[in-house]
Amino acid sequence: MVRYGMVIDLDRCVGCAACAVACKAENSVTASTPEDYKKRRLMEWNRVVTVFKGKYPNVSASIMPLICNHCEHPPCVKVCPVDATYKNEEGIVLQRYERCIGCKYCMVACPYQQRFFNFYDQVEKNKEEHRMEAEKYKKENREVPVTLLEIPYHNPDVPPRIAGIVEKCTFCRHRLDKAKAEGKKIGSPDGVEPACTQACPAGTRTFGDLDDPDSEVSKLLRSRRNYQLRADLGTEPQVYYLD
Amino acid sequence: MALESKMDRRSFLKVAGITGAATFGYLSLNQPVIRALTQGTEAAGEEKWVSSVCIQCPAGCGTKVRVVNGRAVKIEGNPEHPYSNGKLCPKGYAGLQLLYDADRVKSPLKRTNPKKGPDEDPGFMPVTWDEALDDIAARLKKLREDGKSHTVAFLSGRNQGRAGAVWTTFTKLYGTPNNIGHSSICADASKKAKSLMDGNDDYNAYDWENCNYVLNFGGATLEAWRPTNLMLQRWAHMRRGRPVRAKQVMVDTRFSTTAIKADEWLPVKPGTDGALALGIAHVILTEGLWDKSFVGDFKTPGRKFITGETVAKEDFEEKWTSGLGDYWNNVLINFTPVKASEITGIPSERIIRIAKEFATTKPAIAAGERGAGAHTNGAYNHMAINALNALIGSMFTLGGVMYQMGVPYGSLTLKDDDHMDDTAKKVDKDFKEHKIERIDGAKSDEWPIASNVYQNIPDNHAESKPYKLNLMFTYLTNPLFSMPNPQRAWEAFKDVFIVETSGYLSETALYADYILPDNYYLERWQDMPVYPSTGYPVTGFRVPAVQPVYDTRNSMDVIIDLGKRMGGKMGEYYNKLGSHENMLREIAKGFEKTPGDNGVNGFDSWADKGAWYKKPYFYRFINGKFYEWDGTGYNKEMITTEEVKEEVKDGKTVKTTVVKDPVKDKLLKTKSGKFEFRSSKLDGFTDKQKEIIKKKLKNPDLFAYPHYEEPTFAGQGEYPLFMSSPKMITHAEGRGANTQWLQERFGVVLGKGWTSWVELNPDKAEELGIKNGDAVWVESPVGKVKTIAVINPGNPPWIVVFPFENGHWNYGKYAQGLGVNPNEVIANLSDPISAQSCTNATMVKVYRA
Repeated sequence: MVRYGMVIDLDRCVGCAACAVACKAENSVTASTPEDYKKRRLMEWNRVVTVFKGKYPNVSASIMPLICNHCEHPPCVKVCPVDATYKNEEGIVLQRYERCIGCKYCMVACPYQQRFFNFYDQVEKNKEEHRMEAEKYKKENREVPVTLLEIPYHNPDVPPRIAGIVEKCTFCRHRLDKAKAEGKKIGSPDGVEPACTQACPAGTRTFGDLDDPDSEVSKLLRSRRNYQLRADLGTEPQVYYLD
Repeated sequence: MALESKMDRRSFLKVAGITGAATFGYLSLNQPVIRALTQGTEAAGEEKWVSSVCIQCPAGCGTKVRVVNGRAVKIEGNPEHPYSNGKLCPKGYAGLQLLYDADRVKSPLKRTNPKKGPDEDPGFMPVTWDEALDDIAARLKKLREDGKSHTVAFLSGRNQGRAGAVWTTFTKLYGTPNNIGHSSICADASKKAKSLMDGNDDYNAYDWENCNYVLNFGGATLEAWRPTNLMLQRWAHMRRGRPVRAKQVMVDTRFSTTAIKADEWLPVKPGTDGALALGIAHVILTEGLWDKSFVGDFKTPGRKFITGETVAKEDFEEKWTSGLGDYWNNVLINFTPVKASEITGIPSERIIRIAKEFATTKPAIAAGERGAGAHTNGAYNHMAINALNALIGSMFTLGGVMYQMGVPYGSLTLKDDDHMDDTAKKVDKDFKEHKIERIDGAKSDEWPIASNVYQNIPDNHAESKPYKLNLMFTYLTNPLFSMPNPQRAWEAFKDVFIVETSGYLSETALYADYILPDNYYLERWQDMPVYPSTGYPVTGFRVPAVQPVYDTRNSMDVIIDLGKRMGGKMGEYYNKLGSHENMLREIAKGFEKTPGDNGVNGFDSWADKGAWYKKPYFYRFINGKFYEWDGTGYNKEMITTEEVKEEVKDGKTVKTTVVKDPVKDKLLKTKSGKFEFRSSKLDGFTDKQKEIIKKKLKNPDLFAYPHYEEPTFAGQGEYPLFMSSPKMITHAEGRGANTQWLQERFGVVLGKGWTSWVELNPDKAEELGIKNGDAVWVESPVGKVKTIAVINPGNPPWIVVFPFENGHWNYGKYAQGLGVNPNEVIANLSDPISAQSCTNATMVKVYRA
């Protein structure tokens, strides 16, 4: 059976966050406002962190992207009271949005802090403002500009989420399903990949079947540079890093 | 408790049932839900991928835009474009938010409040395009009739390709010399330095793929050095994409992303990059490590340069360079690593080691940008840096530096020169004869080689030196925000009639009398030749991806429309030209003669593929000689030929020898046809020009050489800290302040979003009693602003880093009032040679608010 995973080469990563923005665009992850940000409601299925060591003149820093690790033993799945989060047969940890009750137990359980709560519906903020402006156009029988309609740049392949539920990286599940339906190959270097993998200008990420010894990901894992985040916790991430 | 929601669970389930099949976990290829998934909820929808080019920086990365039912839903890199190769930097994806931003200007606007100021409400009211353009045309005509056409200025930002040509023609036919770009507030120091030494007034192209050693002086490769996207790709390639891993050495005043990822970081004192380059050059010459095939050699083989000892010119035979002996005798002779160390703060042993590595690890590149350039000695710093490439033989070699080739566009059959009327011709003549100067002073005796001196326009206008402006067009530029000490412009531009073309209520828009909102780039046709990098020519194509969301128009067509209303010969020209699309169709005909490598041979194929390009770079320096590409290899040697022509003049047969020097024509475009360590261009300045400029120098005797000019800092002596104002990778040329996806992760490496900040070294912060996140004042001789302090453990203690982005008066609901603008504390200093605006030359103090 297929077991999807990712390898992230930190020597290639240039700390640009193209992966983070591409993910938001691909998955229509709600954009934040300054107020949201202050309340720590920023949703980043994919984020970049920097860890500094020492200080000038003896200083170094590590830049690393973080996503859901799609663990083999996912703590989030264990704690979900309603079986909303689950691990599918391909090894991807997914979310049944319609079952989620927003208890956030999974968010507490995740040691990587890569699960996010929707405080808002996935539409443009200031809905009231927009609706009032849209009404003006409708009254004058003019076509309502697209910006005033909800979800102007939403990706139609991805389900929109409502307020009150938890969401996270899906390894771009919608792309993989589409690929299967169309008979296309999946996995780096020349198959369908998640948006972050496709987007990275530095070629940092590789995606594919960890159970296939000939896949690119499997070949990369022969490197002595490979490690997992918080391996001590026994979550067995399917996302590996190359130092 | 879920917030009030238009979509309740029932309707959500309905939607999820169709598109969210995966969420139910039913995954079998034959399930009907899967088929529905691939069709999407918008099953009746039309989907297409349209070619375009991102506009968030000058790189010109080709994109493909996914459009579903007439709405753009994703922007991705175009695999066909050699700068994208299917990738984009973070800014590229955020174009969607700028296209569909509810805060865009939605129609042409006219000002009703005659007063202008940071706190004045313009009282904009919507007008029709005709009303606006007729009024503007009438004003332009009146100014012309009154002999004041030269008091009209056009200031431009992002106007590559034919966009620039449209404006150049307009100002030419109208009769004003004031076609003013913004490159002086960008990175002109490096361009001019190159023009003075190898005759190319341009940025370098770089063969990064084959380079093994990079010595980078203040070019933020992984943040904002252009073309950023391609830089990121090349960086990763140089690290892990080939058997030999390149060494990256970063010379910078701060612990930038590039410094973090580099192999070595040399934390020089601000403005001293040139001294480091000179110290390195000294070592290269005293160790005998210069490239003999490019530079030449002593007549006595094995002889080296010796510290303190002059060299007689006859003793050294130069090949492709000139003035090395003079350069050594006047500048480098005692510029030892110890001296360089005293100035820069880098230990001399390290300088010696880096110099030897740099000279012996081939191919190597010395490069840099604003970190070294935006100082009062910026041009001289860059001359010293560029000289290193000549000394180690990287000019036009494999893995070395090049210059970007132009795109073989077809010419326009319609010639604008033929439509200049007497007024236009007179202004042109008066300008060439210095009877009229430009409002920014470029090309005057004070600024003979400057492309523009954008930052001085407010002062010149205020003092009527040389005159007052009456009307100003601005295109994708924001003079009331983007130059140092913009407060000068807030005062000075209160009495200028301003026509703004931006799509947002920028500071300049709020001072405007008319706003003629431009389409966003996804709504228009446009060509986009790339920023220099590959050397081989590339040009991208913007095809309208969506119908204009609002009542906006492509500014190129607006100018053509305005031109038509001007009447006379000018009107004739524009009526014949018709539209911007016509221009693009004509220039695309050039591709019929020179098809691109991907088969693009005209307008339609260019639109389909999104990019025309032709490899390889045409020239190469190999083993002491220059060659051209002959189709299979660099086999055609570029040799100087002499042709004797016989003519009959006044009954006598006259023989003239015509010398054709292809290297001089195409590559080393100097007076001597060589790389000049002593610049003949500077030597060729008139006495008056030299007098004016030398007064600004501390070492006027070394005027014609790369040398160390001690940098000047505003506030020196009174204010204790240096300040650098860089751009972040999320900074979309000053047009991204309202973009949520960029703002929420604006400081990628420091993890800061939705805020301005100043970076402080931890020890310095402690000394000042400042903790991470504290509100602080940043004060300079020019002004003071309040922001927050962020500790960057890597920065040296003597520097404050203040990234540029925020502090807008409006620009949308998110941008308005967010953060502060570092320009408000930066003094207006300019490099005397290049006119580069010195954004890194102001000293500040920081204290708790």
